[in-house]
Amino acid sequence: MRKKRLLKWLVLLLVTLGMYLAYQFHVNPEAGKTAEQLLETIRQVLALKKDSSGNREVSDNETPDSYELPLLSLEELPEYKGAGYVAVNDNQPYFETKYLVPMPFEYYSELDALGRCGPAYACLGKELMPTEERGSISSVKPTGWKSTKYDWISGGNLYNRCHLIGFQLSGENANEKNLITGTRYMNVESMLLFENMVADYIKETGNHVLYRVWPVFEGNNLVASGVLMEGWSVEDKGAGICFNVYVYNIQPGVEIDYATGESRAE
Amino acid sequence: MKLIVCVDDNWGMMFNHRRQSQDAAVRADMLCMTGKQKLFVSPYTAGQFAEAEQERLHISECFLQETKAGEYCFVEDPALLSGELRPEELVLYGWNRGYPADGYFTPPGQDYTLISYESMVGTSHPQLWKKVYKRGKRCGKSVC
Repeated sequence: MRKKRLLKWLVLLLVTLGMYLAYQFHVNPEAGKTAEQLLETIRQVLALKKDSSGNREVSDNETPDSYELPLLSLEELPEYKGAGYVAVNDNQPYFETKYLVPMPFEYYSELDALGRCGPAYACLGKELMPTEERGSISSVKPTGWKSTKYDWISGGNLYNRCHLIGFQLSGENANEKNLITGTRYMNVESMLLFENMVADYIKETGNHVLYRVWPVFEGNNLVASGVLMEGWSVEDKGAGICFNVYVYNIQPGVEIDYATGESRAE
Repeated sequence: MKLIVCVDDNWGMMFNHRRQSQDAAVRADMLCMTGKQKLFVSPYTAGQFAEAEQERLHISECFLQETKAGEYCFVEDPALLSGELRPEELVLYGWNRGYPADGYFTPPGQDYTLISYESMVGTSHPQLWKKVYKRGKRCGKSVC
């Protein structure tokens, strides 16, 4: 089953690469250079799987022990100081953007050895937006999931099944590789704001947005400490959308044990 | 001066030096409201108007200083809005959505009176709102 899925992604990537190269050769006689750049970009997405002992990359048919942020260490992420999100790298995304073309794709990492999500990456456009109402996602139990209620939280539940790439952007519904355990606060007060901004920009302009969301797990924790969200509008080269933010997976008034997902009122 | 501003649910205007959102229906409504007058905007704001609409704009880096009494200006950058600015009229468009923000609009104080409210359907926003405030307090049916 896993091999089939990997094969599917490999084929998708090759087709994407083929289309890109065809486009580049058509419009750009120096396509060789740009192909190199695209390969580097794809490498940035895929070659992120590290084993727990060091920096060795693992091949696509192995289950990664974990996913690590490419250009940022956990220690560099600022502590929560009352705002749900904070700009990182002066709000400039880490991905290579110079040679990208507006070609929609979406990529969801395989779950790691602990069953945790890795980065989700997409070039979003109207083509990927949902045409049907969202269905139930209650069948998915992301790592650290606990059904916990506090009466001061809107809706009652501490945790939401939190889409890495929001349903309104990609139409991905109950995909376990796209759902993490996230607080209501992170989901609604922070992540949703960026999703809204990107979705409305795409609807209004018809342009595409390169978009990546990294869940950040410390050590073997089952609940992410937060997510890194990056966005960059392709056609206007970031003039419309350009951000790189770290979003805290916290809930004011609740102390969370990120190792297990247990919690208590502060 | 009549000041036009777009805000989200938290009075946000911009994030990372970029507008939070835009909508063709809002632009059309602004130009309908300004009628034969020019709409005063910055070069950045002019960028969201179509080429055919550009002739109805007065585009300048100093557009705010150049807007006279009775004329409309559309401001997207909250850094331009100092406390000393006291427009005779405020036209607010609300996205009816929350977006990220690092630049905010200060909601109108008690010296402004709401004179009209309407909801609108946008091209990419299912429901927008428009509120018009006049400087002054209500005196019977008018604002003085």
